[in-house]
Amino acid sequence: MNAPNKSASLPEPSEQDDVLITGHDYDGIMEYDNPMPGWWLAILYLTIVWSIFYVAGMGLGFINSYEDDLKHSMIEINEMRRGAVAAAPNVDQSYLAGLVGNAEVIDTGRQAYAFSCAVCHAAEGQGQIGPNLTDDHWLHGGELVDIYKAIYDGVPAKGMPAWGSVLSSAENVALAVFIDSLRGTEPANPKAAQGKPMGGD
Amino acid sequence: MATVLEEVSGRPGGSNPSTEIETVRYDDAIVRLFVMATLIWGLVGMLVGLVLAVQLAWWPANGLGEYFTYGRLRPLHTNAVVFAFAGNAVFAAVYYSSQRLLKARMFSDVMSKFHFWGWQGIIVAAAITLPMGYTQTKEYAELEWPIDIVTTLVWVVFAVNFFLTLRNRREKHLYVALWFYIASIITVAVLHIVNNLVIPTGLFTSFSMYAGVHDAMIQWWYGHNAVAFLLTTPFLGLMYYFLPKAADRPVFSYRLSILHFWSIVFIYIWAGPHHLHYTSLPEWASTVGMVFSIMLWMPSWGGMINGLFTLRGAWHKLRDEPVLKFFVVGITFYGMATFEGPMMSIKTVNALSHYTDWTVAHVHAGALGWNGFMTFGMIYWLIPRLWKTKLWSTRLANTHFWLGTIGILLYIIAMYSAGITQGLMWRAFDETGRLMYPDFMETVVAIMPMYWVRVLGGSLYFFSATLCGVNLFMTARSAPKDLSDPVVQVARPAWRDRQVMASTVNYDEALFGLQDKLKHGWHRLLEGWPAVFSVLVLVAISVGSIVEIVPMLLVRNNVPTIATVMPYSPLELEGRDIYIKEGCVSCHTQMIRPLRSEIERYGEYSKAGEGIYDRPHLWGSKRTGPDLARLGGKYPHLWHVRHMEDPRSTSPSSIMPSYPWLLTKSLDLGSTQKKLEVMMMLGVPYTIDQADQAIDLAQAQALEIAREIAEQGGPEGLEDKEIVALIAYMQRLGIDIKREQPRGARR
Repeated sequence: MNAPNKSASLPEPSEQDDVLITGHDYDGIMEYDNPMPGWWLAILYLTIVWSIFYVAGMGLGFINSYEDDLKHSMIEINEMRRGAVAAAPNVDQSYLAGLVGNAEVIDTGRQAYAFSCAVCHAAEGQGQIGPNLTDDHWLHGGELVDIYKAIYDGVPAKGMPAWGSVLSSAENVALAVFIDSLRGTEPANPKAAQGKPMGGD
Repeated sequence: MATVLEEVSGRPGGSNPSTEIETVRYDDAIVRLFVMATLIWGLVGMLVGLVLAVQLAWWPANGLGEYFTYGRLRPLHTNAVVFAFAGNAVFAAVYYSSQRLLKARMFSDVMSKFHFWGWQGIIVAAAITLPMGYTQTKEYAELEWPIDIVTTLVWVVFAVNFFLTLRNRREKHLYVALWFYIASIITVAVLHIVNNLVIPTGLFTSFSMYAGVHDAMIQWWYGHNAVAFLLTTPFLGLMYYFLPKAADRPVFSYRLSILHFWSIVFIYIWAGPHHLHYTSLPEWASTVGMVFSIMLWMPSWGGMINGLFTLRGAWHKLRDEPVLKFFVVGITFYGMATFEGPMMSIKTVNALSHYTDWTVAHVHAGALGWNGFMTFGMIYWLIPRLWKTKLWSTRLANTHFWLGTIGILLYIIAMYSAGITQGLMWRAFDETGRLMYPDFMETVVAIMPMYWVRVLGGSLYFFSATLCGVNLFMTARSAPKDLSDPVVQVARPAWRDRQVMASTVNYDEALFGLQDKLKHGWHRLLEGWPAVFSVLVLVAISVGSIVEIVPMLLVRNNVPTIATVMPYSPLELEGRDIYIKEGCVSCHTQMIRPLRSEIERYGEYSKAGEGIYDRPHLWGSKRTGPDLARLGGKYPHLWHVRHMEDPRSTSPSSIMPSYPWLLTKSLDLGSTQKKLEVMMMLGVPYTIDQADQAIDLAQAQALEIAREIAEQGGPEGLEDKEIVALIAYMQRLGIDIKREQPRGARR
């Protein structure tokens, strides 16, 4: 066909079964009539078969949907949590009161405070975005157990996040004890008092 | 159509067709222009990429002002390397090889020039508008509507020029490289138009015609196939021409070319939804995207096999031929990336890889390795031929090759390591059922060293590419003065005239004629019919597109509505546009996946019905920072003010840029009413009253937010600043679903 006078510069076939296709000469580029590699075709067919199987599996329900997978993984994690809750101490006023003054607990609390609380309540608890934690006024109660509850559950309506599932149970407890210890420290630049004074109604 | 093509005859001039010799001058001047543009824009795009890499590793690098933050520059990088670097490289390849494969000069020099200068103009427009914050935010489709219209025009001129050159051809059958060019030109046109359908709200602003799930689906049908038909198929075409040329070897298997071409064209278009696994896209679409991605593996490898096997008997040439070195490594990265792509499309693998730097590694293996190295290989092969002199320094080209290869390896190893590390940290639970790393910052700090390794790898790659620029410049300087077009003599092909004579044949003769035509197989026949071939390509890409998109748009239960989800208030809408302008979506997703670690970290997973007023969707594809889908109400207004002014003041190790200008720049409510009206036109249930009072409503809400900020102890007088709109928007994110009643009359 076109440009048949090219044969003089034909490269030698590198393997015996390479056969050039006559008439396939494009700007000097020629093509061999080699078969497609068997493994290539085999994998291509395999992926097609697998795809049909997968789609059928989704349709018939023997392959899990996102929802199914989520349900199973939540059951698993909830079991772990139940175990952890059962092992953790029951946090009430008397439990917390027993830890007041414990230097090790207060130190854990101080570290957790720097990580979680200082950005809103300021480095020394004097308050900034969040209220002052060093005065005698409390928006959600100033008893140890009230403070613990505010930390654990947060006050989402006012922008206070819940730390219960973020921090460990020991850190939640330590934070309540540490914040309780800040009362009356009188740091510089305190935020004006908010909420009810302790003891007064 | 085919017969029309066959009948074209007697041109240009001549009465004795079988013996006449025609003179063809190839237009190489246009190729030289495209090659130079490729290198210049490539260096610009890579340099911006390097700046971004530094900004990620060292946040103060964002401090050059509002036009140069990561969010503004990121789309500039992607657009520059995809459309300017790879785009111009593709055009250089198409213009050089098509003329020679068809034995015809490009149809129109004017069209070629218009294409070249039009395309460079688009790139300049992108480089100006993107840092200014004019963006549609959809990845690789960021450019706003006026630029999109110009792009369409330029592309159409390119296509017409190309197809009319096909018509003028002197080679009956189309070579495989041309098949890939045809598929690329047609498909890019379809993708570009469908994904960029918007309603303008101003000269450089618009709302997408699609909302939420629909918008995401169409965006990733586009996004995935832009990779396919701009970065894969035209580069395969490039490979099929320049590799056998450089190696001086025949192509390994014609039969493989046929099957892998058609299977790529047919299958690739289906795979888009794998970008949206575990999102609120219906799972059926996700599944279809996944299985077609798996089936795409071998069709993609067909190109690699044909490329590498073509080198049998020529491997010794690699020793001193930089062109082949670039090609071999380029094709190897192609093979790697097209194995990895299907793997990442498997849902459970994607659950780990998505939103992490693993995706970034994958993309750059393809972009730096395949697109970059194929381009450089082609350029080194072209330079001596286009400038008619020896390459200035082969040694420098070899240095380029080695430094570039080391750069790619450093880059991708760093990003694989960062991606997998962060992905595992996000999902880790401790033995008490708590997230092991509840603070997102911990997972960022952990991968910072890898971000520095990326800077190193990227620098090497960039530096090595400048060597190519030097080589081109020095070669061009020593080029002969006379760079006139190469001239070839071609026998006027007889087949052009045959059809006219055949018009009087009887039935039997026609039948035998057909038999004769088919003796080399049906595909051989097709290769002689460019018009039919092109129509079949269009059909092949339309099947997957239609099957996925049409039911998604039409079947209502794909997006179950949620009664409490209401449209944004006018101020929130303005805030959303600021979020878009600043490019927040580059680093923050708004799509919580139904995975326990995400629900634990961010809240209830995102539902399709939540996005019905999001035009465009802002789901994002990368979590450099945390997801924001349920940000609303999480922090007080003042937290946001402080955080925007200086992210380190609220999150000490944050790598986010500071946005102090949000507190000082006045909020522009000039087009708020127009925006509501356009939304109404698109079916968003605002009332006419709300549109008329849009400014009043926005100002009232702004005043309320500014008052609360002041009450919380923040700065006074923010009510007319951009920050209040942004806060209004962010405080709205993801809260409607938690309401028991729809929010009543909007403020």
